Formats: sequence, C-alpha cells, structure tokens
Amino acid sequence: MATQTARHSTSLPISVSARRLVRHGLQRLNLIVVYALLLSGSAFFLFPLVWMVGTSLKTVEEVGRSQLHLLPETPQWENYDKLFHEEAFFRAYTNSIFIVTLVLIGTVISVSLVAFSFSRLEWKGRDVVFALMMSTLMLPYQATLVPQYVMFHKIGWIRTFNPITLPGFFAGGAALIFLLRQFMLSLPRELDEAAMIDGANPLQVWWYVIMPLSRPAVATISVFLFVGQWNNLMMPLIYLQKPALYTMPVYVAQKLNLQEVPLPWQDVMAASVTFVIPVLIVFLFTQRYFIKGISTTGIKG
Amino acid sequence: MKRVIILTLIVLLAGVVALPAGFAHPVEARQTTVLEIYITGLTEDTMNWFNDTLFPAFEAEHPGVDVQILTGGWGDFDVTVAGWITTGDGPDIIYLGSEYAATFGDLLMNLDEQFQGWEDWAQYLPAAIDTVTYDGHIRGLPLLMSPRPIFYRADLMADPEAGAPLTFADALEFMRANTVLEGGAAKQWAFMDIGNDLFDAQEFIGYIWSAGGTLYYEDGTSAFDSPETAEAMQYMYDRRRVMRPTEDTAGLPPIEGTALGSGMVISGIFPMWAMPATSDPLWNDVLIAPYPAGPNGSPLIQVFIDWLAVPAYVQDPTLAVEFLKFLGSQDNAIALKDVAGFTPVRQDAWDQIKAADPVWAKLLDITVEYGRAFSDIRASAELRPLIFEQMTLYLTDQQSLEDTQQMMKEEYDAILEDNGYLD
Amino acid sequence: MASDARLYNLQWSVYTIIFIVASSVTLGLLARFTARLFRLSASEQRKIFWGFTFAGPWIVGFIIFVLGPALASLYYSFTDYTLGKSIKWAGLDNYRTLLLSEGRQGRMFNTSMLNSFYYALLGVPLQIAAALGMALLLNREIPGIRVFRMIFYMPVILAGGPAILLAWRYMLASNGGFVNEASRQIANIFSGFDYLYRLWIYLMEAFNGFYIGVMRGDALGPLKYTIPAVLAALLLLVLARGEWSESKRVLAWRSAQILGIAVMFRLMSKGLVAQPIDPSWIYGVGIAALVGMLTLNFASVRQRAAAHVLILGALAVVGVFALKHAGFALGAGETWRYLIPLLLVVAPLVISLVGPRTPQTARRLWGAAGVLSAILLVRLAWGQFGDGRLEVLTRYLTLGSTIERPADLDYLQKTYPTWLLSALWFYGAAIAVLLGAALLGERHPRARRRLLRGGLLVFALLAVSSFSDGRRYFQAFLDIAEATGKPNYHFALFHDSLRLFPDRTRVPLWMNSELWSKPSLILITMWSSGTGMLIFLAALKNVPQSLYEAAEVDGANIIQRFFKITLPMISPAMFYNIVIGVIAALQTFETVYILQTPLTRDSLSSAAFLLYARTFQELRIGEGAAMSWILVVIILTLTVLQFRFSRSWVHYEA
Repeated sequence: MATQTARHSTSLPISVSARRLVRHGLQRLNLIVVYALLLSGSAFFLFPLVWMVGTSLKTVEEVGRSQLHLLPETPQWENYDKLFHEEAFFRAYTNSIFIVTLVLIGTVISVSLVAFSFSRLEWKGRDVVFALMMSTLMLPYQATLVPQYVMFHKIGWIRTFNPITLPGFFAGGAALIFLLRQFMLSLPRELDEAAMIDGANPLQVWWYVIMPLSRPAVATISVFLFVGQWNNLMMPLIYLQKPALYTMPVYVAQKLNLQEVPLPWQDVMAASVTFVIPVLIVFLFTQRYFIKGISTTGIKG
Repeated sequence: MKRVIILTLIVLLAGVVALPAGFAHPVEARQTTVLEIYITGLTEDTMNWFNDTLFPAFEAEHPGVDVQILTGGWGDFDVTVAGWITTGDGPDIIYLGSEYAATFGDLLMNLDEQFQGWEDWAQYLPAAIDTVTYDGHIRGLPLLMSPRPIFYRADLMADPEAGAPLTFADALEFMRANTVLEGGAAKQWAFMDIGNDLFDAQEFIGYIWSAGGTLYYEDGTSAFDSPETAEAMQYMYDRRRVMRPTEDTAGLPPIEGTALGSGMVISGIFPMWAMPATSDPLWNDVLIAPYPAGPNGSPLIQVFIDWLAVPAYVQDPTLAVEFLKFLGSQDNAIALKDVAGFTPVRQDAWDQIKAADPVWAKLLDITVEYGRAFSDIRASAELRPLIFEQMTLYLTDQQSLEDTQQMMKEEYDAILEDNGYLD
Repeated sequence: MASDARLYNLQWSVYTIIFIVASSVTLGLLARFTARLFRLSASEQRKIFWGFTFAGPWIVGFIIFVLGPALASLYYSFTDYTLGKSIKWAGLDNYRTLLLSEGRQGRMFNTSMLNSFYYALLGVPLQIAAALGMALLLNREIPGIRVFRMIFYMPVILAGGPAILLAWRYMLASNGGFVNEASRQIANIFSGFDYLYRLWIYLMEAFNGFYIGVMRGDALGPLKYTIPAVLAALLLLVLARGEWSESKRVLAWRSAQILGIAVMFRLMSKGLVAQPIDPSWIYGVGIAALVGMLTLNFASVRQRAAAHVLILGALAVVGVFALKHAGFALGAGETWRYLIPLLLVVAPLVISLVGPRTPQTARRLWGAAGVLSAILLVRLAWGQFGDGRLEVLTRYLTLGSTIERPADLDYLQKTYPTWLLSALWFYGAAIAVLLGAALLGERHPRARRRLLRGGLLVFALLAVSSFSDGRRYFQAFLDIAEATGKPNYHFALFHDSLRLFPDRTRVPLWMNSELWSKPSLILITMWSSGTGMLIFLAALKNVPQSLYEAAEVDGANIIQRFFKITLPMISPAMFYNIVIGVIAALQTFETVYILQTPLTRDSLSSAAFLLYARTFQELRIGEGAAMSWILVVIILTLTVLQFRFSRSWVHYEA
C-alpha cells in the first residue's frame, strides 16, 4: 500500500509536501507517545523507592492509616536520628562495609591473577583447566551449599565472618574470571612480549603492564561484586547467626520480627533507605559498566 | 632472586601449618568472659532495659563479665534453638517456651547442684517448677507467666448485659451478633486471635482441652481422632465462617494503636503488651474470661510459662546460673512486669502488683481459678507446622474434618515414633 | 565484640592469603616437576610453572569449595544425616520421600516444585514480555534515553536486597495497602476500569484456585487428557498450515524431544525410585541406548567406545540391582524376568560395539531396537488396555461422554480416575505424530500431510470431548455436595472463586491469601526484569537497519516487521532469557524469604527456599543434599538444552 501511494504521488508536488507534513506530524505524535510511555514506565520503576523514602519520614499514626499519601504531613527526621543512635544499626552497617571491602579486595586480585593466566600466559593444560572452570558456571550453587556448611561447621567457623569473606579469595566466580579474561585477550600481545624481553617476570607483567590497562574491566567486575555482596542475604543468614555479626541485609530483614503493635514500618523503611543509598550511588556512577558487563556476558547484577 | 621467593613461600607454608591453635582464636584468649543470652520477641523498650539497666548492674557485681543479648523473631524460633542445641554451639542461656523441657530433655543441663540451697524457689508456683524440670532435675529458671484469657469489650457488645460466653454454642452466637461485614470486607470482628489470621496452633490445643479432650491416649499415641478434637475443630471452623464467610473476604482495615482499643475488635486473645496501658479508662469496660468449653469440658485459661534454660553444651554453668538468680530476684521480676508486661512467676511479686493495679489483680485471680499450664507437648517443633498445614486446609474448606483428623493423627504418630515417644 | 570478630577475620584473611600463595606455588612446582618427567623443554617447564601458579587460586578453591563439597553432598544425599547426630546410610530413602511426595516433607517438596513451575509458566512469559516491551521502547536514540535506560534497569540492583522487598510487602497490604487503595480510587473514578479490575480479580482467583486444587492433588478427571490434547492440536495446527519448511521439521523434531524428556522425567520420578524395578525399565534403557548409538554421530572411535562402556556400565548396575531385588522380593525363580530382558538388550549393544560398521549391521540393529520397542509396548499396553479401557478413547473420538451420573462421591473421587487411561499415553501419541511428521518430511509429502491432518483431527476431537467430560466431572462433585448438604472439597477454592462476580468492594488479597501470594511475587519479578531488557537491547542493536528498510520498501507494516524481522533476529536473546528465567524461578530465595507470612509460606516457597528451611533451619543435611541434587539435575538439563537447541532452533545470523 505505502509503496503504491509513494509511486503515484511523485508526480504531484503538492501532495508530496502534504505527505511530508503528515509524516512529520506522525513522527511528532509518535515521539510524544514514546515519551509518555517512558515517563509512566519510570514512575512505575521509581515508585517503590519514593514510597520507601516517604514512609521513612512518617509518624507511627500515619503509617497505620490507609496508604494514599505519599509524603508525610511533616517529615519526621527523628526516625533517622533514632536509627543512627541505635548500636545494632551502626554495627550492621560497619559489618557490611567491612565484609564488602575485604571481599572486593580479595576477589578482584585473585580473579585478575587467574584471568591473566588464562589469557596472557601460554601453558600446556590451560585449555582443559579453562573448560573445567567454564563448566562450573553450569553448576548451581545449591550443589555445594550444604556440604560447605558442614565443612565450616566442623572447623568451627559458624558464627564468624570467615565463611563469607574467605572463599572469595580463591577467585570465586567463574563469570567474573571469564569477563576479565575476555578483556585481557583483546589487549595487544606485543605489550607483554616487550616487557618480557626487558627481563620482567610474569608477576611484574601482570602488575605493571596488564592491570593498568584492564582498568575498565576491573571496574566492571568490582561493581558487580559490590552490588552482589552488599545485597547478599542468604550467606550471612546461614552463617552469621548472631546479631553482633549481622550485616545490613539481615538487620533490615530482622527489623520486621520485632514484637511491636502496630508494626513500626517507618523505622523499617528508614533502615531500608540507608541500606539502599550506597548501592544507588555506586549504580548511578557506574551504570555504563553494568550495561557493558551484562551485554557481554549475560550474568545477573 | 627466584629461589629466594620460593624459599620464603615454603617457610610461610610451614608457618601456617605450625601456627599455634591459641593464636588462631583470639576471642577466647581475651580476659573478659562473655555471657550470651538468647531471648526472643522482645519489644524495643525491654531490650533497652536489659542493655541499660540489668546488664550493667550484673556486670558491676561480676567484674570481667560481659553480658550480651541475642534476639530473633518468633518465626524461626524453634528451628534456631534446635540448631544450637543439636550442633552444640550457641549462647549460654536460651529462652524456651512452656512445652520445651520434654522436647529437648537431656540436651539441657542438669542444674540441681548450682541451684542447691537457693531459698527463692519457695516463691515459685509448683506448676512453674514443673515446667522447668525434666527427669526430676532442674534445667533452668521460669522467667514469666503469660496467662492467655479472652478480653471482651463489654461496652461494644451487641448485648452488653450478656457477659462473656462460656460454651462453644454461646460463643458462636456471640460471634454472629458482633461481626459486621460490608461487601467483601470486614468492618468489625467479634474476635481476633493472637496471630490475626483466625488460626493459632496453641489456641487450637487450648480448645481441645476445654472440650474435655487430651492430646495423647493412654498408650501415648495421638488423640487427634477423638470426638473432642472434632468439637474444637468444628468450633474454630464455624467461628471463621462467621467472620470470613468466604475465603476471599478481606480482613479488617489497618488498626491504629491496640486492636481492642480501636473499637473494630470486640474480643480477642492478646498478650498484655498488645493491650492498652492498665491506666486506660477503657479497662472499666473490659471483661476478662476463659476460653469457651464444650459440653463435656470446662472453660480454661492457657498459661504459658516461658523460661530460661542452660544447654548441656555450656562448659561451666556457674556464671549462667548466677545470672539467672540475679534476673529472677523479686525486684527484677517486678521491674520486668512494668517494662515488658511479663507477669512474674514469683508469688511474692504478686501482692505488690495486685495492690498497685486492679487490672492485674483481676487477671491473676482469674488465672488462679481457670489456669492450665501449656506443657507436655511432645515434639512440639514438628507438631506446630503439621497442625498449621492441616488446620489451614480444613478451615479454608479444602479438606473435610474427618480427613484432617486422620491426617493429623497419622502424621503425628509417625513423628512421635521418630522421636522415640512410642515403643 | 564486633571488632573482635573483624580482627579474627582479618587474621584469618592473612592466613588464607599465605595459604593460597603457598599452595599455588606448590601447585606450580608440582606441575613443573611433572613436566620435567615428561621431558618437556626448559621454557615449556617455566611456562607451566607460571601458568599453574597464577591459576592456582582458582584450582585450589575449586578443589576445596566445589569438588570436595559436591562429592560430599552426593554422599550425604544417600544418608539420613542430621547435624549433631551420627550418619546412617539410607539408600534411596531421601529421593523416594521427595519424588514420591511421601509424608509432610515430600508433600512440601511437591508443593514447592509446583510453585516453581507456576513461576516458570506464568512469571517467565510475563517477565519476558515486560523486558521485550521495555527494550523496544528504549531502543531509539532520542534525548534523555540514557537516563530512562538507567531508571528502567535500577530495580534489578535494588531487588537483590531485602530493603525494597520490604517496601513492596508494605505496599501490597491487602486492606489499606497503597496498591489496593490506589487501584480502588481509580476504579471509583472510571467505571470502565472498575469493570476490568473486577474481571481481573475474578479470573485471577479462579485460575489460582484451580492451580491450588491441582497442587493439592485433587483429581482432574478427564481434564487431564485435555492438556496434552490441546497442546498437540496446537502444535499440529501450526505444522499443518501452509507450506512445509525446514524450520517446521526442526520444530516438530524439537517439540517431540522436549515432550519426550518431560515424559521421561515424569516416568523416572514416579517409577525409577519406586520400590520394584520393573523389567520394562531394562527395555527402556536398552532402546534408548541403541537409538542413541545409531543416530548420534560420534567423531571418533574412541568416543564411540566410551559411550558404549558408559551404557554397558549403566546396564550392569541396573542388572545387579534388579537381580538383587528379584532375589529378595520375588524368589530365585523370578530372576528370569530380569535376565531375559537384560540379555535381549545387551546382545545387540555388544554387537554394535564389536561388529563391523556396515549399513547392514546398522539395519539389523535398528531392527533389534524395533523388536525391543514392540516388546516394551506390549508389556506396557497389557496393563493399560485391559478391562475395556480402550472404550474411553473410542467414545471420546465420537464426541461421546464416558461420565454417567455418578452414584456417590467415593465412586467419583477414588474409582473413576484410576479406571481411566494414564494421560501419559496421550503424550506418547503426540510424540509419535510429531516424530513421524519430522521423519516423513520432504520425502513423503502426502503421507506427512495425512499424518498431520489426521493427528490434528484426532487430538481436536479428544480435546473437545475430554473438556466437556471434564466439566461434567467437576459439576458432579457440586451436585453430590448439594444433594448431601456437605461442603465440596474437590477444587474448593476454584468453585468458591467462580461462584460470584466480585462486587465493588473487592480487592486482591496479595500476601493474605494463598490465592494471591504467587501473583504478588510475579508482580515483583516483573518490576525487576531489567537484566532481560538489557540483553534484548543488546540483541536489538545488532539487527541490521537495512533489513527494516528493505521490508519497508516491500510494504511490511510495523507489526509484520516485528514478527518477521525483529523476533527471529533476537531469538537467541529470547531463548537465553527464557532458560535463565526458568532457572531463576527454581532458585528464587530472597523474595520468598521476605514476603512470606505463616499463612502463605507454603504457597510461596520455591525449591531453593525449601532447601534453605530444611537444611539450615531443621539441619536435615541428608534430605537437603538429596533435594539439592534433584535441583542440580533439573538445572543442568535446562542448561544443556539451551546449549544444544539454541544452535538449530535459533537464528544466529546477526
């Protein structure tokens, strides 16, 4: 249909301009519809976050009322004040920061070492080991969860941070190794050959040549690790088992268990807001790494 | 150069292997002794009282001791505690519900020696001492008594003169007269249970008892197939159908403040901390009454005696028992009642409370008259989910009464056998 | 206390690093030593040393945290290990409890698997639709699009943690929660929306009520035939319409395979772990092995031999078990029941291994497979078609009813369903038709067309009349309930929701009812489907613009362009998202943990959540390990399917 109209109209200059006008108008309309959809989509995606912040500033009475008012009559900043003076909150927050930092350092260094070996070093058996590593991607974590628990129980590491932080030191996460390896493969070969000729050993090549060049990929895996660890609920839930060791996810989840009538949703939401802020900040500044990382490997954030 | 690196690494490896064990456990090597106490379901005020008042006082008496509290929710309560006790790794003092002495038995420490000559035992109710005793030995200290009567708002009842119903039939009549539904949603409920979903496993056991039944036959097998159990089930079912004629009826709107104070709930089973303060004038119109009963039974009030036990895995229970004695003193028992609404188990604390507060006087009197301790529940950690699953099916019209009774009996018998209660 | 714990952890971190460095270097040295034994050159040795040393952290970690635990867990799954108690060998007990839904634990496992199935069946398509819609919307270069992309993706970051889930739980409160209040307000203003809203509530409750009935194991009656019949009829409709093409052949072939795998799983879970090993199993394994040997193209002789050794080993194990079992339960005289099929199966396999690889041998082996299949069919049919059971089929094909006015409830509930044919036969017939169509293909167009059309007719008739019979079956329960004055427990929630159209006060009950708990969870996963969106977005970017331009010149409208160009071109991403979505449905944990209330715990629980509760709360290590291995098998199958099928199914041209 459209082509026929096009063929007929070539001979009539007036209808050409009319068509252009219609087309222009249609494009305009199209754009408006797209923006309307985008905006309503954004409202849907942002709403729970806004709601969380709104609730965290309400009074106990407002929380109990039916929920049509997004924002409180007067913001109750003392909800946060109360939270910041709570010892358990402070402990959980610092615990989380401690664990995430340690895991981040240990994992990034060990992962980059292994990725270096898989990409820049040539050794017999490398392909076999690499295939083995890729096959662990298929193994769901449930297969090892139970016996790992038994193992940690036997060496007395339940109710310590060790089961959460230390496994990361062993280059945990085949997907991360894969991501970094792919990046390192794309770096020109001549670089390390030149360094080798200058008498550098592989350790020096890794640290002085490859690592500085791999910064974008290292940033990507760090961001993934950070978000994954910060949000991690299951491992701390399984292994920590006592409030002094709780991390933020467990602390926030446990807030609901208090025997209060009515439930202090404003406190729960205040704790949630403080919990979400670091992740949001990191996400805002690093979202291009996220998008790149997911598009290349398809692993989940 | 390379050889040097390799040599250092080998030395380091040897170092890891030869590390002294004491160095690897710095926490134990410290001077302060940590006493860990697990108590579940505390309010924030109570937590603060423990941390700011009680613990510093005890630590002042015992230099070098650091008392710490762990809390958790009721949801994971039994499994958490079971985990500690079976793995032999956990806090020094754990909080247990009324029925747990029989469940854990010898996994709890025999404290006869430590408690020998403690004259305060004389003040404890015999039922409370029974609750903390297993195989003739003391396993811990009763912490609080929680009588669970039904509270009625006499001023809001359809017939304010009628008084509290004492039979299943009257109670159903009361439910019909006092429930208001509008469209598919509730506006007023005649009754609200402790869990706010019109079904609670402990309450169910309470009705089996008030119907005149028991949980076990003479030979130790489950009595879930008894006619009394059927009566209790039928009552709970009919009651639910009054307030939720169909399963898609919405519950009450969110309640501000306490349920009974809101006026939307006419009666209910609540712990004291979920009730208005006893100074509230509302209490003038509140009736305190026992559970209704079946034709062959009699009304009763379930009394939960929660207690603190010392598990058998604790190396030296002396300090833990010192702390229990300290916490159980008359002054602290009264303080706990004021802060947390815990009814003391010590009778010498009662006089003072009764004199100070007519509501508590009424509550304690009626408890003495109708009270029945919630104890001797075998394998309770596994029984509770079983009752919950089966009764939910029955109450939501997905399973007949007979099938439900049969399922509960069969599976409870299997659990009892698994746990060595049957021969 | 907390700082002590951190110090302790730091201390152990140092030990761990030392351990990793030392063990990696040791590994490197060992590797070099081995290389020296093989007389490799000095530079090769050096390379091997550095390679293994650098990969050391992962290798050591793999042994400690993956290999060791995986083996241990496999062992635990055959014991009744409970933490703190001694280990006792329990054989297949754990698997039996779980797969045959024995007792409360088995029931719970069954429930959570069906919950996961629900998430996969409803949640994944919705999630994919949402992700694709978002990606199409975002796949244009207009000002501000990067900000929108960020906002659309953000929920994924948040949904990993408990905070936002708590906010959802609060917003979904049934009475007074934001979602319900807002929808009610809108419904009060626009009457059109009000009607749609109530219709939606009505349909949702009816569907969930039905699903809960199925989960509870209420008898489906004749409806159980409707499902395979409709499925097969739809597939055949697609295949029979229009021209035959290569992609249709692939579709027929793959659907037959997938159905076959599903049926195998079903048979295995219900049959293999059940007490007696039926001789039929031996025939089944033998046929599968023979057909596999003949159709698979092994690249080398060594691979072929390895496959043979594997199969024969498996048969030997089956044989030992079977003989042992026969010896125990049936007396020595019955041993022949197992020995004969074993011999029948092993003989052709051995021939195919040692014999010459000529077309003649191959033909004979196909013949052997055919004979074995015939024996198996006769064996199976013997028990199925006696007692005039074939009558059901013939009556359905003439659109007749098999349900007569039922005498009483007992007859309906207990006797009737077992009297009928197993629905597995319907699946089997569907597989046969699909396979036949794929094999006949181009070469015998007439036979293929007849097969497809005949199959379509048969399955359509079966679908229609089994459905009407099913309705009558459901109605019969209601009639009996009315006549006797008792409540109807058969699909109780379903009938309850059907009874009345919701009035203006009705709201979804979300977490307060098992009718709504699963939809709540799906709502939240749809909210956070940004990962799928990004994958779609990347795929959309790779679709060459020239294709669209060419299509536009040809006069294709936007919908045609979507179905003819976009969808085929992004099919790899689609397939990937589906598989990842299904695996994620099995592994849902955080959402369930945060959203569950005592009332909805069972109706929400996913397989991963149950595993957590069973192992880490109740400390039943043995059962937890068995559960995790069942999960592993399912997830591995899905992953392998993805790798295998994506090659032929999916358009990889971009």
